[in-house]
Amino acid sequence: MMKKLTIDDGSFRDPDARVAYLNDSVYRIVYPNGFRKFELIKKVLQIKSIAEYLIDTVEIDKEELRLLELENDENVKVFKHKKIDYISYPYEWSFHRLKDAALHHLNLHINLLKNDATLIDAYSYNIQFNNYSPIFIDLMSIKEYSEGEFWTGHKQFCESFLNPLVLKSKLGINYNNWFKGNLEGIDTGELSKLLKFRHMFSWNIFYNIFLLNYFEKKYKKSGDLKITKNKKLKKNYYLSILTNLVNFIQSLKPKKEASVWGEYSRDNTYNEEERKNKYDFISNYFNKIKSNKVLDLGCNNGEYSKLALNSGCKSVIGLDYDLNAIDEAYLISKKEKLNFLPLYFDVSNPSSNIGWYQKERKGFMERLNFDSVMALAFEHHLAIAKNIPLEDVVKWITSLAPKGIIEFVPKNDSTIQSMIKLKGDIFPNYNLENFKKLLSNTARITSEKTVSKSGRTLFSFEK
Amino acid sequence: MKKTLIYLIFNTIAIFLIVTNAYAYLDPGTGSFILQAIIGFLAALSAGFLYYWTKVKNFFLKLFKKNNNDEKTDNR
Repeated sequence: MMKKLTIDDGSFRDPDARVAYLNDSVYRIVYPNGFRKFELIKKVLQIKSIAEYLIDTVEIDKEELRLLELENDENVKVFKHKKIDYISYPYEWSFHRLKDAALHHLNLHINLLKNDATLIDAYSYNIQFNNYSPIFIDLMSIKEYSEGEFWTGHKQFCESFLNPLVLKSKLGINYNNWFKGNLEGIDTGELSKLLKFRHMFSWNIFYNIFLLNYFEKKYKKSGDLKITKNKKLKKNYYLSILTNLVNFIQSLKPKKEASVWGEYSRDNTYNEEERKNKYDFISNYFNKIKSNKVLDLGCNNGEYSKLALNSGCKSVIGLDYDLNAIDEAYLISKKEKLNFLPLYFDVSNPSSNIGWYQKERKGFMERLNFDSVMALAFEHHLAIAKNIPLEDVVKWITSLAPKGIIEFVPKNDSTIQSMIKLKGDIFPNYNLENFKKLLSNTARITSEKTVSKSGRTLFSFEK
Repeated sequence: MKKTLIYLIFNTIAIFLIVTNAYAYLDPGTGSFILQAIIGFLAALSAGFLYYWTKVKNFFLKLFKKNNNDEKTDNR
């Protein structure tokens, strides 16, 4: 059956174009007001030093245009983009991923300026990731540069890239939940209240945070803009602002605190033989099913995601609430060039639908497109640590993909013992037998194996 | 006087129109524009300064690193 073209709800900000989907393809429909930009984009796509920063894009021919069944297809031009495997948002990225996205954005902007083009905005949502590689997706942000113009996206760049990085790097505060709550990023005014006097000695913090905040407060009305009359920003000054930021962001490192799970893969409860049992089970399973897209819940630094990849799976999306572990996983994926996308995610409070009409940025459940799920040493973090009924935990995990692996951790295991040390054992129905019953109520158990002396058991299931 | 006033008003409106038309779907931040207009040139100055500052810093860092590496080799 022919499907109909659907317009992306989050692409409303630019009146000159809309993003739309049809049969697994992504299109950007450009209206007459955007035709000039359309031609410019076609031109910059020919420049190699720019095109390597951009999502793979082609203009579609008349035949394909007809297939889209647009009402007024004489009056539109259409690009077709390569589809991103899994859409992620900056509040789900760990420090180094956001840092790489920021540098990608700045370097693209510098290369554009050198070719007499520029960007009209600087939103971190305009960057997506193909695993470890950042890619700029919002091509309609590209426009012609006219001599002397200002950097319109400056404030936006600061809020959605620079400020979160500074917050984590200088103050050790994680930006993710704050960013998610604000949508636009970290407000410059709020950040400057937190920064200390000594931070002013960094030129880039002084200029892009303190001074920006001072001018923002002082000049609020658009009438104030008459100050800028006859003033221009010379191109080499513009480039200097950008290169200063590149150098500054490159030097930023996350301020580290001890993490709960950051050391997990080196310091967990398995001995060598037990670990081998677990490895064998997982590796056999994935060698059999060869999944295209695996969801790894509680992926930590990606040890088992890597095992899944080595066992014939094409790509893995890993989720974990420990930002240090996720950051380490990202650096590993980058270093070893893995098809692995580790993201920040708190299962008891997942990314939800946010933004305009609650449709602008999609929640986790709206983005499900996995063909298998792996939940290793994970269910007890919900059932015991968060008091979520075991039945709901099993139902939820099995709803995420048609098949997968779940590890059951018994109550006598040392991790659970430490969880119930303070609150006491209030979980009389938490046992292997009940877990197995609940799992077979929602799915078919295809294999099981006890892998540790404490009784940790792996199940594979199918629906 | 009247002429100047009309001129000023016209100019302000013109600037306002130019800015809103070009970037209608983004609030660029008035303060950010004024910051760039008034002291945008400082960025270029600081770039020059930062270039030499980084050179000096790297020189000392290298010295420091070298010492560190030596220590490590000794320990092994």
